[in-house]
Amino acid sequence: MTFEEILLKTEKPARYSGGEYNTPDMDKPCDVRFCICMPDLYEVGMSNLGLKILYHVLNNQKNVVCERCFAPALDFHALLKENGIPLMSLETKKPLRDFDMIGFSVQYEMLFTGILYMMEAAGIPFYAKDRDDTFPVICGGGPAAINPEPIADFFDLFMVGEGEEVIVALTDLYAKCKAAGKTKAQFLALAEKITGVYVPSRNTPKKRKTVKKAVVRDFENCFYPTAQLMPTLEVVHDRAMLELYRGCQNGCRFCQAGYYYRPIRFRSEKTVKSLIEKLIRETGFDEISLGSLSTGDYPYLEQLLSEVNPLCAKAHVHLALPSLRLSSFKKEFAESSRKSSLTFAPEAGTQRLRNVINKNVTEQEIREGLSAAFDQGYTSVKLYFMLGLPTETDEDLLGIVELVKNIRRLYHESHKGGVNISVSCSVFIPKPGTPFQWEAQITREEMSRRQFLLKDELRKVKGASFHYHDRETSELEAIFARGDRALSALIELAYKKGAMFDSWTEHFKYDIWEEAMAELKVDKQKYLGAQPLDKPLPWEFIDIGVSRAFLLKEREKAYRAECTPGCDKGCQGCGAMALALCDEVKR
Amino acid sequence: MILVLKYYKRGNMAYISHIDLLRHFTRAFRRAGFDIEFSGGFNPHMLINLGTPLPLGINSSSEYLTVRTDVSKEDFLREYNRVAPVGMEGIRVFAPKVNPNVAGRTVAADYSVAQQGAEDVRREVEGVVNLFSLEMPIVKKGETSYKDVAPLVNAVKVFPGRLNLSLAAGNTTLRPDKFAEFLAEKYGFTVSVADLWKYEQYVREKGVLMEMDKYLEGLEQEPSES
Repeated sequence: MTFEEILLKTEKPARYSGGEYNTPDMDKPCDVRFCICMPDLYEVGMSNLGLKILYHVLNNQKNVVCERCFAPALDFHALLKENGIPLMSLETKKPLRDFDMIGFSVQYEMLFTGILYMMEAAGIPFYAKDRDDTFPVICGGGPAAINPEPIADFFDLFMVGEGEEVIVALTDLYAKCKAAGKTKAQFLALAEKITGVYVPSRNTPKKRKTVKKAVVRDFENCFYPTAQLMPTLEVVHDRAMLELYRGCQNGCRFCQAGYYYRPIRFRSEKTVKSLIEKLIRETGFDEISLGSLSTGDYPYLEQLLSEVNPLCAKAHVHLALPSLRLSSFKKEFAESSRKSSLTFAPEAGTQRLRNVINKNVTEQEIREGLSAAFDQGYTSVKLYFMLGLPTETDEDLLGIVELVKNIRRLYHESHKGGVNISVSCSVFIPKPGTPFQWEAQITREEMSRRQFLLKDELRKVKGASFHYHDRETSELEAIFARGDRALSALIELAYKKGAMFDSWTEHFKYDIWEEAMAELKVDKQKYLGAQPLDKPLPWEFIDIGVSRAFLLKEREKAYRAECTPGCDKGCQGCGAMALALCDEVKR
Repeated sequence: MILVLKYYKRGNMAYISHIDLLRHFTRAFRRAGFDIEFSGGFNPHMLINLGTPLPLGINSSSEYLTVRTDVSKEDFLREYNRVAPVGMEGIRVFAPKVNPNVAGRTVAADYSVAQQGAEDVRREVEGVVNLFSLEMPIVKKGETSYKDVAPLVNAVKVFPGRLNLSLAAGNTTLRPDKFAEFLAEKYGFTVSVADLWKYEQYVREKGVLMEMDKYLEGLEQEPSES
């Protein structure tokens, strides 16, 4: 079968056809051919902002051509295999093996098997030590690189932190090494000197070197793609994306992103406005999402909205403001967005527990925010909580139920009809780089007990619905989040036994993982239990800027249910300023 | 003013589904800066009328869509082509005086598919238009049923390396890829449906087939008194 014939037999062939509008010149002469691999389907991978930034950054280089490859769905994978066709890039259909460099974007832990799936389909050996110089340099990056240890043996190098400058330094170095006829080992030795680059084969648990996270110092002027790729089929986040700022001033103690992306760097409203104008002209998307970790805390938001709202109305473009905090939910924001459903994340049911996790929102603020929203005509509220947080008791869980009841009462005080309150409860996963990185995860039995407690209580509240996360997925994610190098063998074995697309509920098979753990005698409790404070954790050689002392201090404050004010109230001295100037300090 | 854009759907763009097609045009027209009429209501959207759906994977040089806008015919084609994805370029723009109802009026389309060996059975293959009934197996969800497609076949012609088909399209459609594969199996030759083109579509005027372009040209004229 030819490739075209295979496409005709595939579900959603547009996933593999390529040819998106705004695809850069793929035929220009170049020194380095790079392929960004997303271990997920086209629809998910194409929703990723990091991919868009890095893809266009690389293609803007004179001597680099960058292509993409997404995980093939099972039907397409089977057809490729049947016809003896190795996995290839989307743009020029070049086999992955023939690239100079491959970069896997690892968004989170459940995608680990997807990496092996793609490597196997491409005919690339899993372990770095089994790949000679004829294979491409396999790089990793993305949020999961904050603890790359579970997958370290599969990779030649990792980019830790923000990738847009590191990736250019790496391709430059590669081009020079290639011209000078250097070996892969020689290249890796030089690559290791670049800030943000981690080479697992040269930096082992026995002999550690600190790896400093890469940070874009001049965020205001750094490159941002406006001629973004236009997906060929409907993707999960089918809109243009624009980052207002990096970092977050709130310091929620469970939140990895909040610590990992420090220090805070704002884009000025002038730059944002000009980027919005360009995005409308160059993409044609009918929606632009103004993203950040907490969009409501962007200090220039009101001014920006008043300037760009008329512009967007004229072009029939909708501005989406994700990640609003209740306390920052102001009337004018509600007016400027479409009134479908509101999503807020109080994260915990009582003030005590909210203080423990440093979620600086009070019930009073929740009431005020929602009151304004109800007056605007919203009749549907989505609330996100976490269960299994450190120090959590049943009283905290019942606090969620109380909160829901109060919201319902608040609605009926001044409005007729019904209100939908959807409660979504995930399970707390202790993540590296946070003050909770030493905490234990509750057992699956305990998760189940707490979930059913909530379920039973919320069933009695009219208009409320309850959704909760899968316990097995949460446990596996926790194992990987704090994993070490011993887990590479587990991932390999589970994959060989059929674990794949673990991030998809319908494909996730925990019994395979348990079987593999038993066979390899992996003690999961080692990863799920509380971690010792006196020994360095497997990922602590990675310097994310925030100091260990600061994290420990925050942890102690958590146990005293003591809040730390946001960075906008004054510098708390987390240490990230050593990497780049924090804009909160400048203000 | 009503404008009809005739455009290609070929190469990579042949794999875009009918539903996604609408999204592509909305975005392209916004890039072009066109002021297109929007629907009213809670969730306004650009009013674009697409023609008859083209099955996935088939190339076409004869697709049509209708919009209402104040952009001139010439500007529309030039500006659209400036921002069109490769494979979805505009070919021509018509400015009919009345709503042409392209999707509703389409009754037939011409296709050409690559073939090998049909020359040897040319008489039989071309003869299918004379059959009173032609039972074609249709496989749906693993179950096979039979449908008499004879009334849906207007013409079949064998050329060196190609097989040209004129089939019903519109309210009742005979899929050219399935029909070509059926003929190939029945008469013992091979077709390559990855190389299948639609190159013309028709309306019925006064009982006879008329090319879509000719029909639209007619609507560009002032309606005569008689």
